[in-house]
Amino acid sequence: MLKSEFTKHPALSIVMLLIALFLVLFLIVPVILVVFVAFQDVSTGQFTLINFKDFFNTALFRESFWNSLYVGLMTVLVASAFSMPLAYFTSRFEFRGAVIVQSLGIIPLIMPPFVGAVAMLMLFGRNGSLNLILEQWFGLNLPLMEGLNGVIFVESIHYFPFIMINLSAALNNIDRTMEESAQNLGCFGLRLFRRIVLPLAMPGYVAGASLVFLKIFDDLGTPLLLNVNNMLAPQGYLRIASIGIKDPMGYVISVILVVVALASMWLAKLLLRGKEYAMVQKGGGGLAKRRMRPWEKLLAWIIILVIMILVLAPHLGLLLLSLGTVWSYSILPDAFTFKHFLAIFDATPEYMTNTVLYSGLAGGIDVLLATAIAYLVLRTKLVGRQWLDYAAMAAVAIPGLVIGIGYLRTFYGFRVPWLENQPLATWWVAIVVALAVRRLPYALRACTAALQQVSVSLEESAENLGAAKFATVRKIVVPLMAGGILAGFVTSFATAAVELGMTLMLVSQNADGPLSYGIYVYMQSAAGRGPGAALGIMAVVAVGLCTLISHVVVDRRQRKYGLARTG
Amino acid sequence: MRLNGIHLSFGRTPVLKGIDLAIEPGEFFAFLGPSGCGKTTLIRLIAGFEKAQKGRVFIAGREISALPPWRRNLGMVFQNYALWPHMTVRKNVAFGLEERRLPRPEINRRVDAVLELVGLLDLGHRRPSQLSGGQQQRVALARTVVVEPQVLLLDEPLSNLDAKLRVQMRHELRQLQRKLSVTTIFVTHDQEEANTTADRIAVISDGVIQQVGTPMELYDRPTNLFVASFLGVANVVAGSVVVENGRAIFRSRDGAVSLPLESTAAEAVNIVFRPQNLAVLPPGDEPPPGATHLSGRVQHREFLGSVVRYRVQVGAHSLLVDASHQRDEEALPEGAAVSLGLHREQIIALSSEPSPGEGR
Repeated sequence: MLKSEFTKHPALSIVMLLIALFLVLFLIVPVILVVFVAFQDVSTGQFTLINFKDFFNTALFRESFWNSLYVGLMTVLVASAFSMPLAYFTSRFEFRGAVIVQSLGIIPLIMPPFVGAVAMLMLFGRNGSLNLILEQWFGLNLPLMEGLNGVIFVESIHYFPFIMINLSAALNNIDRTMEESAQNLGCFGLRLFRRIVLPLAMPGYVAGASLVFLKIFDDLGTPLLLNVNNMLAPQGYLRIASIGIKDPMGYVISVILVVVALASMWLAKLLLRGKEYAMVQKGGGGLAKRRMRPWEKLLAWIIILVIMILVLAPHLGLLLLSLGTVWSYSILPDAFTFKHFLAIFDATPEYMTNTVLYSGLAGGIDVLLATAIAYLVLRTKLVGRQWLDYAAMAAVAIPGLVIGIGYLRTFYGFRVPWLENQPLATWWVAIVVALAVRRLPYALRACTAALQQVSVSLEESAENLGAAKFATVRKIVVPLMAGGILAGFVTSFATAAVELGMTLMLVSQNADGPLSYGIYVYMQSAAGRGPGAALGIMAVVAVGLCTLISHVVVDRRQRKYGLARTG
Repeated sequence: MRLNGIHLSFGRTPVLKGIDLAIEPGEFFAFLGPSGCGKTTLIRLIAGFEKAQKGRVFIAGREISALPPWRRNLGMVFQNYALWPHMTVRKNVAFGLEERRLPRPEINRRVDAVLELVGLLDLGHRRPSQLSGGQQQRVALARTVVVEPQVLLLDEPLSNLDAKLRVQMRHELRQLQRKLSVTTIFVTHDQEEANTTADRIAVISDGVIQQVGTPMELYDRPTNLFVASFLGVANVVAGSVVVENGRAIFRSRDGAVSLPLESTAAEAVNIVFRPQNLAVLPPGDEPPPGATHLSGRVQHREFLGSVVRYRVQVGAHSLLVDASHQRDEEALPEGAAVSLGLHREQIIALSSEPSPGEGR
């Protein structure tokens, strides 16, 4: 039976094999190699746990491990504290500001935390705008950006909308009758919240929170740019960058990062499996909403205003930084100028052209792969096709740093013949492939969703009328999926443009760097902050445009073709 | 329970347009009506989850209109059962008692007793997701009954069950209610359910109570066309009453049906009779005394087991006729001419004014 399936669709089988080969070579092997090396004795090559022992015996590494855990947990807590009031307002009351609250969720998506990190220093640092004002008027100095606090602060502001939307969704998914039946039996107010609402919202909330924890735990850019080196990811980078790829500590750190990632994702999946909690019935889901009293409305708006200012602070700071001449020990920059923008186009245009090149290629690869995998999984019965899906999605659990290290280790021995024997690992094409592999899960999700909306009967009627499989795919399936494909492409593009973890590992010379790398390089010096911020603005604009395009195109296509929305 | 002058609108849409009702203690009372008639809104109002713009609700003489749901001591079973998935069956059932701050041994005793009553004593440690639909419904019932509410409110409790289970459950429900003698209001759109379980029924349509009565009263003496056609199958013939030779005669508009009719109703009249009120006469026979002869042609027939239901064209009217079926009896073929006898004392005469709430 196995044989007949393959011989029935020889072309598709070959496609499947090629994709499998790609994933094995560029995802599975590097990651497995990293794990291998972590458990390998450097001198004898035998299996050993000594690297891990050494790791936990070293004070700096122990400290880094706990710091990363601490920062991750604290960020989730702080972000949740911010989110609680807003989620409460939007789910319990008829509140017209709800629309604003929802759109707050989009803002962090267009700028990753490391881009605005330095700008946040300028605004909230020891000598930043806020503290200068506070010292003048109150003699106060808030250590918002000192050491780990800085990382927590920047990350909370970035991730707080995720958590808030997650919390709101969890609250909104609770069926109204859950609450009403409790009221009917005599329960109300805070007791009702504690006994019924909170337990029902918990799984959804914790699932989302654990994914956020994971992202913070893995984040390399923000600590680096804030000069906080005693965390796990920066240590991993620094060990490999300074000592080289033979140093086992970098691999140990990689393994720890992957284990924590898998644990968080497993927890999230476990909690969401009880989807029976979200049983929305006729008559509307969500808790009953009541009108707000005037003072409650005022309070709500004040809270929203404060939170909006905080959420927009990095963007504002970045803008000021990019347009300011000198900004040091003053509340605002001394003067404003466009020269930073001119500089980046003039002196280092390659950061932007590289980004377009890499992201474009990576996005293209992703879409091809994603479409093919989606088609194979949903439309064929080939054996083992689910594994393609799993393998591609597994990339979500692998932090960029680990892929970078993996590539360095796997491909360093190989040389590129036509480039004066440059190592394969530092050829710019390696960056493209790594980007493609890392962002494939997102493109795959988009394409799978798009394909699920295309009914099989549309293809079958084409085949019934005489079209062969390939023609059917080309003329019917792909155009109908186009919205999803485009969304997948744009998502890959947008996120690839601001990836830093693996980029830092694989870029060997500045000329090869994309936007994210350029920002990092510029931000190392005080003079470079202006142009660095200008690059940051370019990145934000690029990602913002991409997000907008994908939303508009997908919406328009759905309306045009009357395709139902999934989920 | 008393409802006085209840008016409720959602925004600009009126949903309950003047509800007045009195329910006796210990009654099993049904709210019966089609989807969207307002019956669920009414029961939610009684429970305290909706607020009326006008009108008052009384229980045992005390007005409860302003009380929040958690102070009304009414037990409501929701259509989807609303069992809390993060609690076991025991915890679900104990919830109301815990809210009333009863001592733990008392709670355990009462939970055991009620679980025994609904036959789920060994399933106390299970979660709702591990129960069948019928079991979940019993847990929902147990949860409400254990707090000994003044009134039990059941919102379409049987509609999520399959047909066979429904019949069994409605019987059990009725038995339970009799045992506890708690006043119960039961919302349904299924007239068979209402007929077989309720002491009295309020037929609701379009936000207005059409008629209140026992199942038999509603069936035999409907006061308007809606009630007549909602409970059971009805043949309706429109016409008018004229006086001829000193006698009152009903004549249908097309003249095909004409019979003597003692009626104090208005001149424009609808007569209503059931399919079983028409007898198929052997050809050539005179109709029995008290019956009027009608002739027609068989359009269609359906074999329903105990009866054969014919659709017969009489003049401009298409009438349903039920002929009881005995073994090996032949049914009339389609297209056959047929003689019918209509038993006059079975006829219900209704005036042609529109039913309350009709015609906006």
